[in-house]
Amino acid sequence: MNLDKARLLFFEESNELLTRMEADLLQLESQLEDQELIASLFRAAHTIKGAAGIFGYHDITNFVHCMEHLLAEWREGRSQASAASVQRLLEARDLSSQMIQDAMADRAESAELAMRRRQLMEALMAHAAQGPTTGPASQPEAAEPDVPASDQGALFQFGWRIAFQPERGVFKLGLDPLAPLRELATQSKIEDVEVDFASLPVLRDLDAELCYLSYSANLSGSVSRQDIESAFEFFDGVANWKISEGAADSVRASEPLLRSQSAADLPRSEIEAAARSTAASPSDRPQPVDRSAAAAAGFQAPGARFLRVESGKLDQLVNLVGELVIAGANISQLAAARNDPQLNEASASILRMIAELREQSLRVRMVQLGETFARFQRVVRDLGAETGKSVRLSISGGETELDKTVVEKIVDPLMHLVRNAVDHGLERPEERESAGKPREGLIVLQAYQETGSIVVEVRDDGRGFRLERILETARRRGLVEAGAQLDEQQILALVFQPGFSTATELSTISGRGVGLDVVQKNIEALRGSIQIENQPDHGSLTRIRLPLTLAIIEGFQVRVGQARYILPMDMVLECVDAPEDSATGILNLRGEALPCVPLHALFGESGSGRSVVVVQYGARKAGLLVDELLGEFQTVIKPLGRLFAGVRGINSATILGDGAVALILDVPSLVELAARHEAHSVVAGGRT
Amino acid sequence: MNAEQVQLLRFRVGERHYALPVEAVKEIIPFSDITRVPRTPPVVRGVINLRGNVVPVLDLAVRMGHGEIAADSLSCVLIIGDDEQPTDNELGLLVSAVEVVLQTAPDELQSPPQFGLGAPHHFVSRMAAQDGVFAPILDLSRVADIDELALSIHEESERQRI
Repeated sequence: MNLDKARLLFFEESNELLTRMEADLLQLESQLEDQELIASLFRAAHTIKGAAGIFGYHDITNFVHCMEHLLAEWREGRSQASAASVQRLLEARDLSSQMIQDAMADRAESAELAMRRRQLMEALMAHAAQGPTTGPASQPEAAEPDVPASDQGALFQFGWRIAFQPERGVFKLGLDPLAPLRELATQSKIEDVEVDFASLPVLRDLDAELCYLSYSANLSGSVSRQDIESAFEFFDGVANWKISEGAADSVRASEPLLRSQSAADLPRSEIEAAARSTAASPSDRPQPVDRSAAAAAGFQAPGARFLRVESGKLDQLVNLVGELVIAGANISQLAAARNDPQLNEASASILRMIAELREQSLRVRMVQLGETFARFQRVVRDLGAETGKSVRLSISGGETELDKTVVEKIVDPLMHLVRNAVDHGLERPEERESAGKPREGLIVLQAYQETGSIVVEVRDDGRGFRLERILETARRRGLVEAGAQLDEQQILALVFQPGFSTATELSTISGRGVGLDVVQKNIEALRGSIQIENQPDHGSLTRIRLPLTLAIIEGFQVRVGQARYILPMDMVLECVDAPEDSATGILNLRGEALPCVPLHALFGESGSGRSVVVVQYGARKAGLLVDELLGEFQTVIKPLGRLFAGVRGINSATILGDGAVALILDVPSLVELAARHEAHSVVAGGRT
Repeated sequence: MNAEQVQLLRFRVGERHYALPVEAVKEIIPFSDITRVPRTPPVVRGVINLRGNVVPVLDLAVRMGHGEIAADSLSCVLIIGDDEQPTDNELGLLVSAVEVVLQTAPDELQSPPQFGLGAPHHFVSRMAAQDGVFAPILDLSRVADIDELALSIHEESERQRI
């Protein structure tokens, strides 16, 4: 079980690292000399390589090793990054990502991928060997990919002595004490491995999940201390090790760490010869390193200030807090009924704390949008290349936080909007020039917080929407009646109609048969809204408004007949008394004609409808006729399950302070329902 | 208990008896407050609060093709559903009264007769006979077929007019 968890963690971390690598590589394209970027890339590749080795994904290890090797060459200054080699690394990153996806899904590698992988490995090795040349080399270097192709970069040619003693619990962490040796074996020769059995208990006391053994070994070949340190890096904190030069005797002498029972052989004479021939000056002679050196060298896990928590645990926490909110509401109801001032005070202070706890626990689930935004750099870059447009993406407000579950769900809609902006919004460079704009088009991705909601905007400085063309298309498709007069907002709203597309040719990029209607649906499913602002010839802006969280909303409670229902507060504009003749279905709201939805009729309840709740969603307004207004309160959303998926007008439920269930109304579908009923105007009894 | 024995929970729906394998019933709760869901067919009695989860309750009498259960102090809700995905699969069945847990050998179970079961024929797998009472054993995969029920609920919701 533990291993599975560790494996999941490996996939998650690798994906994060690959995302970071992509961002770094994109930056590197314009700053080829940036040593910090190269170092960060190297660390990421190295971590993925090592972790993949631990879990036995040797193809990934070998492949990423080639990436790491090229990066190491750059880092050591033996060769320089070029546009072509960065492009290769980007391709390699994509392929690694594909390999990790395959490993996650337990899929076998496709033949095509395997071939592509070998080609890329060769290309990377060629780049590493050739220094700052352009274009891939044609010489097939790495026929046997396990062996680094070029040994020109041999660092040290002498022997090392390693003594390694893992803690007993390493198996439970999913670590394999032999993995570092296997990794080192790909680049050096390992001999005289000795296992120390001293701590092995008698069979009766042996716990199969504990590690009782330690080992020592001699290494020779072109490995640096750094290489060895980093092979053991994953055992940081759960093992002791010493790395010392050459002769085993000297190791033994200064080695309180190991209680080795057998005398180790001396390293072979040619190793010593090799050691002498490198003529390392005494100061160069490696000293036994303490393990913090690895950390100092920058091999610390990134984000050490963070704690990884399974998101399921957070969901549980939020659910519990939701229960607490309900229980708190119950207590305050009871306390109010008792009319006991002390009890009231106590319940008020409990409620305050619950509110604070709720705030905090929801904040724990918030993540910054920055990482999601960063993905779009690549999308925009590739799209620009594909469409022959020069595009720059500017990102702001990446530090804005949003509930993790919401973030996961807006990636696709955002992707669609960004694609649309590049594909349909921006003009070709020459077109822009003749319009007096810079050749390079600009896409701006921006996020900021407004009261109770988060706003995400996608802006472009392209040609904007052509209203007359939208109208023409809509008429042609029968979305608008011939004589209808529409204002700008209404025309822009047409692009969200199913099947609407103004692209004259169906491009492969956004014209995938998925229109903006799907985007709108996804956003509305998150209880968000979407609107377009347009400036012909200067561009357009799509603004998405989202609730901060999905779990708890401000609700407005109403009574219809005998039943209580909840309306989402953010859709409620105002409440007015119902006029005497509300039967007409139209309410005169300060001169505005407001269509009214008689809820008791829709729900088969007996009631008179004394009050009207004016609701607004998108650009529409309507009045809901209810019997009584019961006020607003925090509502914990409970899903209704598959059984009621097809019931219109209701989308979820909540539990009230007295323990009863109340249904949460789905305002848009209610209004639509009322409209359809009017259209059919069939008189039939509801349920009796 | 003999390993060969089957344990059955026998309950009453109106004047008729039915049974379910004991292990199919997660818990039995007294029937009290229920929230009606508008625009749903009579087979959906409503939703209840089960320790903070909102669980739909079916009226088993309506499901068997009879009139609604007139709830009284003996009425119970049998909670069924698989533990793998409790939130989406939990379902309550409203019954008039829970009667007894029977122990019977599998070979004492009979095939159901052609008609007269008081239940659609495909809802019943076998019959239990004990103390002179015949009780059809219900097949939950048919009685609580969520997909079929969801479809009929959707159709009813669309059919209802003002």
